[in-house]
This record gives sequence, structure tokens and C-alpha cells, in this order.
Amino acid sequence: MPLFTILVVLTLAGSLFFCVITLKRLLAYNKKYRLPELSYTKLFKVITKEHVAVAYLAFNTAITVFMIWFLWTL
Amino acid sequence: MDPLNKSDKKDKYFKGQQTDEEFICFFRSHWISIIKEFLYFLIFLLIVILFVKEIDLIKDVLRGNRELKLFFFTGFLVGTIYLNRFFLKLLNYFVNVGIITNMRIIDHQKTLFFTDNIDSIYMAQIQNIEMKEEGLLPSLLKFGDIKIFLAASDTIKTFKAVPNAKYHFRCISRQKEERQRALLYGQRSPSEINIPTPQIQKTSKSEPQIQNEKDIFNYKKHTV
Repeated sequence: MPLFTILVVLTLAGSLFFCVITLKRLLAYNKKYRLPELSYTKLFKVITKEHVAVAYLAFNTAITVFMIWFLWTL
Repeated sequence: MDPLNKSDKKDKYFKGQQTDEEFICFFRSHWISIIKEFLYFLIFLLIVILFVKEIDLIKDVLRGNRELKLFFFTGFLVGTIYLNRFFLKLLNYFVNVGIITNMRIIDHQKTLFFTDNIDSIYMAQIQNIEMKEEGLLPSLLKFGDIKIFLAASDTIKTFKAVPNAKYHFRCISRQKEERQRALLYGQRSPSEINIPTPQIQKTSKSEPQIQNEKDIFNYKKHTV
């Protein structure tokens, strides 16, 4: 396997791992802090930390899938 | 938390909430403190969209060229690190809160990985509160700084970029007045009527008889 592919795969794996660790810590925080969210506590009156967590996971997954396809067709 | 005791508020909304402590509200920094990150992320997104649009051209350029592949990997690594850092900063914004209860104000400076500082200021210790809303952006977007001056020391606690600063200023002022009235004059505010008073039993003749928080306050005043 070429070095370039190995490096990209390692980077993607590291990114996914970090994402999972971050979300696990966020879950642990949510168990301890159940503060009732109102419109003025949300970011731009709409976004909550759950939205951000889903977006984070979605971004990471999309980039992983895209880069794997990129490496496959290179 | 005792599920059978409905007045038991221990850890109901946050870890460390006391049994007779009533949660009033909480706040985070105004979104202006994180708008810079969104602007940079927008630029990053534009670069990613451009990359995806010209993917065939990039593949043709990279094929068989080791140096360019290394250069591309460096850019990819920087982009991945930046993406993770952006979302981490965004999540850190959400976990950094200030909590107002009927007994105290809690400044919880937290990040998901490195920091976890909790500063608790009891309402009885507050001497003065100041709100500052200076400048064009703070006036338009309605955010400001809240400074809390503590009694018996020169300490000033500042909450920066508090959204809807006037509301939180009024909230803290009211809770401070209610709490100090309850402690100094033995009067219980409407929000405290149903909260049970902690009872401490006398264990020896030399110890004072303490039956309510007023006695605790007076005892501490005379012994310090």
C-alpha cells in the first residue's frame, strides 16, 4: 500500500477516534448537567450542543467516506 | 436525589446543586464571542467545495507525482486538524456556563478536555453588582459585562459578554436581595417558604445551639 494512502487512512482514523472521544465526554457532561435550554441559551436561538454533536459526526463521516472514495479512484 | 422527596433538589439540574437550592436560570457567552470561528469555518467550507468541484483535475495532477501527493497530504492534515478544532471550540462554548440559583451564582469555566473550574459566589457575600453595556455592538446586540463586588474583600468577579445583560443583572439583584433579607431578618421569601430549614443538633454544652441559617450567619459573624 503506498505511503500516501497509509498516511491519509491514519489521519482519518485519528480524526474519527477523536470525534468519538469528544462525543463520549459530551455525553458524560450531559448526564451531570441537565440545564433546561431556552431560546436565549441556544446559539443563534436555534442551535444546541446536540445539533453540533450530530453535525460533527456527520462531517467526520462524510469526509471519511469521500476520502476513501478519492483514494480508491486515484 | 431522593425520588420520594419532591422538595429534594439535590443534583436535579446540575452536579452540586444542594437539597434546598432552587435553580433560577443559566447563561452562556453571547454568540459574538464565537462569530470569528464561524467566519473562518465559512472560508474552510468554500475551499472544501472548490476541492470537491475540481476533484477530477486534482486526481490527474496527483497521479504519479510523489511530491505533490505529500503537499496534498499536508493540506489535508491541516484541514482535518482545523475541522476537529472548530467543532471542539463550538462544544466548549456550550459547556462554559454561568448558573444563577436562589443561593449563589456559579461560574463554570469548562472545556471538554483540559479545563474544569467552578467558582461559586453566595448571594449573601455580594456587596454590589454592576452592569456595563458600552459600545455599538453591545448596544445593538444587547450583551454586556456583569461585575460582582464581594463584601469583606476586594474581589471582583466579572462575567464577560453576557447575553441580555439587563435581565441577568435584575435576576441576580433580586435573588441577592431575597437571600440577604432571609438571612438577616429571618424573613422567608415566597420562593423559600416550602424549603425545609436545615436543623443542626447541639452536641455539647460549649457549642452554640444552631437551629436555622440566621444563627449560622450570626455565629460566623461573631467568631471571625
